[in-house]
Amino acid sequence: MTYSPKGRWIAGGTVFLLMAIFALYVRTARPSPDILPWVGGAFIVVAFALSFRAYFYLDEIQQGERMRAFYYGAPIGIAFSGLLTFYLTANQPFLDVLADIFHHHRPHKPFEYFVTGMMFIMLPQLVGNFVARTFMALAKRSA
Amino acid sequence: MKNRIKVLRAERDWSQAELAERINIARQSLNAIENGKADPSLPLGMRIAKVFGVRVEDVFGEA
Repeated sequence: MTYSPKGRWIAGGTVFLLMAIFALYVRTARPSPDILPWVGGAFIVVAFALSFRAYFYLDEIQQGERMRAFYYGAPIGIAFSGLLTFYLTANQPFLDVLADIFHHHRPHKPFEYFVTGMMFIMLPQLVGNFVARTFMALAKRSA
Repeated sequence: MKNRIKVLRAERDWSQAELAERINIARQSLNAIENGKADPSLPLGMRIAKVFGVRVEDVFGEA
């Protein structure tokens, strides 16, 4: 796939638009706990696919920079996950605490635990990636 | 890696944005290559040499 800033903005913009729609849907429609994990799961799959597509609209130098950011960002995210796990398991099962984002009626459904577990693994790494990118941008600016 | 992109560009009076558009990469990426902060792949290196109408070794080598 060739470099296309327009394609990247369209794909990236769609991800943010979907995020806004999803947040609005959860906030206003208040979907039942039976369907929320499915909608959330579908949203994650579509957002991930679009982000992947946006990556291939970058040129090779930009792709290399993104890969480097993930290389440094993923361990930051994993380290954070470890600390969070330690904190949450100090007094109660951490997945239950995390799965409370769906509803507070325990025990949760298996799929809710699955979605929560996936988010627990993916999100800190994503945040770590942005942290690494910020540091890389600052380092480049000061060089 | 040292290169002569800046010199070749100046000879043709091309801006970074103009050259970046010709080789289909971002201007920031070209800037990184030009300043030796990033190394292009062989296909990209060949593309750069081609738009200048020179050999790859005339672009990438000792400046």
